[in-house]
Amino acid sequence: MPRRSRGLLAFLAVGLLAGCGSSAAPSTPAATATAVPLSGSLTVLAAASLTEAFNDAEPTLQAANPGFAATFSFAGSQQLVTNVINGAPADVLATADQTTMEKLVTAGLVGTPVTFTRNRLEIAVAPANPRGIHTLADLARSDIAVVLAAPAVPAGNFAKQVLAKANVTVTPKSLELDVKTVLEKVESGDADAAIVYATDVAAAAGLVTGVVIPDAQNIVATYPIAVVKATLNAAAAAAFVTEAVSGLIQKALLKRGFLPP
Amino acid sequence: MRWGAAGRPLLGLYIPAAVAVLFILVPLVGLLAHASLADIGDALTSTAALTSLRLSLECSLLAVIVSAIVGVPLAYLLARTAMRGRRLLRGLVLLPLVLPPVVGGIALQSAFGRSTPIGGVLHSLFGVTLPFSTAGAVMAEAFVGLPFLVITVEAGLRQRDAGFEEVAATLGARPWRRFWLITMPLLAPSLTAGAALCWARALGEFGATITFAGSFPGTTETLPLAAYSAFEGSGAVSRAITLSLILLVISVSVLVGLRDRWLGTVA
Amino acid sequence: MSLDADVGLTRGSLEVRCAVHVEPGQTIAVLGPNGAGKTTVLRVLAGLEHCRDGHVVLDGEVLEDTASGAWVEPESRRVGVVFQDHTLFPHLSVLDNVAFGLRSRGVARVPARRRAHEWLERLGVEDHAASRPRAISGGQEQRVALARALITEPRLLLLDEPLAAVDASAKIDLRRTLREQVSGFDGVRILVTHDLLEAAALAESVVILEDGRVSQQGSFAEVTARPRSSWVARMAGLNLLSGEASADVLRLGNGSELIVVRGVSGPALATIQPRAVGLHRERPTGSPRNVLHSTIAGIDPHGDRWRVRLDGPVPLVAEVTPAAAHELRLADGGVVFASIKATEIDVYPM
Repeated sequence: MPRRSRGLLAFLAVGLLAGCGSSAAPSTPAATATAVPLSGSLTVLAAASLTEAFNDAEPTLQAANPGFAATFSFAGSQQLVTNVINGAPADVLATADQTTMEKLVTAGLVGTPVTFTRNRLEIAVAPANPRGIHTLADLARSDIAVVLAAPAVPAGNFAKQVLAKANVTVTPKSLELDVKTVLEKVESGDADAAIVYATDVAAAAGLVTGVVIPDAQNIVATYPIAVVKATLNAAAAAAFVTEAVSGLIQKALLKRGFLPP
Repeated sequence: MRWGAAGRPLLGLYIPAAVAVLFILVPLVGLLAHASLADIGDALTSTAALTSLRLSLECSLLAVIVSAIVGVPLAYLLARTAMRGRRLLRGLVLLPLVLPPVVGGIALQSAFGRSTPIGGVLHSLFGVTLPFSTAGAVMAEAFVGLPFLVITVEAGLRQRDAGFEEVAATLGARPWRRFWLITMPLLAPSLTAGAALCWARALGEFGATITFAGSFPGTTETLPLAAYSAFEGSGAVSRAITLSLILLVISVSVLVGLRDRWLGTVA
Repeated sequence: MSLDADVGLTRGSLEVRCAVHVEPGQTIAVLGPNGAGKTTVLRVLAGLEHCRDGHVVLDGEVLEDTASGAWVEPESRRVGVVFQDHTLFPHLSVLDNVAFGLRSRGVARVPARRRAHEWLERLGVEDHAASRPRAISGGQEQRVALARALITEPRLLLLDEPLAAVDASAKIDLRRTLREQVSGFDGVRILVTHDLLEAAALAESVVILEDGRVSQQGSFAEVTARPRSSWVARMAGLNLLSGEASADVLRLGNGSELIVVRGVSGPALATIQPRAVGLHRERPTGSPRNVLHSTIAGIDPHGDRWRVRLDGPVPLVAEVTPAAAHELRLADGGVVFASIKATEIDVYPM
């Protein structure tokens, strides 16, 4: 049944082709304040919630480091981990939780992870909050259609913890495989509410509204980033990690509402 | 095999043919090599696997029934009437065959999602939400499976002219009687073949289902979705393989069974 | 009961115009070469096709009239058809095939099957009642098809080449059965065929349909004795000539002349039996006879006779015994003299 995953493969193929299109120009010395020069091309696997921030950072990184090119692949962290285990060519990996990253550390496939950013959870609802959802407890209402990420996805795991903290039992309508798809269900109007990262709500401003989860019930997700050991461009990969922790990428993250590490 | 005097086998054809066989066989062997008997036993007794298996069978059978109810009349009109725009209509019917399933799912969502006009009416009048419901999964499967049924049934109808229906008319049978007593029984082999193809496609459906209907155990998480999320999600590769094998065994045994009985007579 | 039909329509490049009038208890054969439009006419009578202009009136009931727009669906026509192909429904048993018409007209299953069985007995195929159509022979299949058509007591029986798909050995029996059954049926009967023998066996009068047009009609004897088209003449095994008759001379289109018995004058047709044409290697002498200097164009065995095709002033077919053919060394070809007595030439007005 090869058709089963054709759609996904097609998307991946498009991503790869796009990456090839912007293939590396001859590297030139970095003309930025960055300590280590970024050069050549990198394939970066990143948690879906990082989509906007990383995409924002790319042009600035390229402007600062002529000849540098990054190809991003965004998906649920658990999917990225599976990809790396299966030998996907990648240089850097950034996940949304420690659990998923830990698998690769144990397997010896990545270098030591560094926490580079943090995030909080929020309830995403339709603009202007027509269903009047104000607390986690509202998600248990039978007239509210809730969608969460699957428990194996960091966002799904966190959502589960958050609901447990608030002592709320929710029967979701669907368990999606990455956080952006979860958010899409609220954007499309098919779901009334979802638990996603605060940064996802901000990125979809106008399409969804955020309902803040009080600190007492909330969880702070810490994002680790690591160099994939199989990389062919270790120097640039390490430089990318540095940019994420304290450089241009970090700036982009803060702008998008992520918390400093 | 018999060869005519001049019909000695072309040895040059054996190599590409062998490549084709291996291309199908090797991945299957790979799948089998990864699964242990214990895993299969575990999966077969786990409620989660059985739930997705049952859901898969239910959804695919319902998709076939839905496809047959609307697809047979469509095939009949395409084959037997001189409707205007018939060629255009046939092209339209084939569309889900070439549309990537994920795109099909997005299309279904933009047409029947809860906030769309149609979806809104369904939701407010009947309280039915197609996304996240088993009905949505059935719809996604029918969307991708319907073309197979329509094409096969239409071909079956085209294979013979309306001669037997005409005989029945001269014997006093009114149009609906002719349809049920002549057209449909004579169509049985093509309908079975079409339904089998439609069913096989529906059983393996992934992209449109996960995009349109989402994924939740017992409601919309069919076997392919369960296998995929086991593979990508929890990293439980052996569970994913077992689920795939279950799917494989069921589809192959049904298709082989049907082939012996019906499909041979169609060709 | 009578049928009055005048059917006009276009099928592809064929323009069909056919008028027939059939009295009850009479069988009329629509006879003609393949592609002449015979089956099309039959389909119009059965209501399976509309005609462009014309009418079909059975028993005073207007089944179709393009002038008034009247139309009766085929299922309401009380017409029985025996088709040349698509005879029996392959998915029903022989018995259910025969019972189909009664069931469609509302007869309950049990009495319908009982009567179907009676009909199978009448046609001598009751042993196959439970068989599927593919398990019986072509001849048996046509008997069943006939039973299926007759059981509904139609007012118009249409037979479309009923013997065409049957092998030669079964034909004689089936032809006899057809004649018996058809003559016992008191409605209007129309047989469509390209086989003169079939028409001879079953019909009293014939309508010759060629290229969509009726070229001749009349009793079987009349039409075959004095054909008006070369197709009929060929089917009847006759030489057909056309020309201008005056006194005892028939002047043909190409200018050659034949001595005939006087009686007809003006445009005329003439037939000559092939066996009335004598062949000689030397010019024969004596009595008033026509002698034509001809060349042998071909020889075809025809039963216990040989048919010799002749080119010359008058193209003819002669029939000789194989012994005569041998004696005259006809197989060598070449020039022969064909002699025809004036009394063997049947001249009739065109």
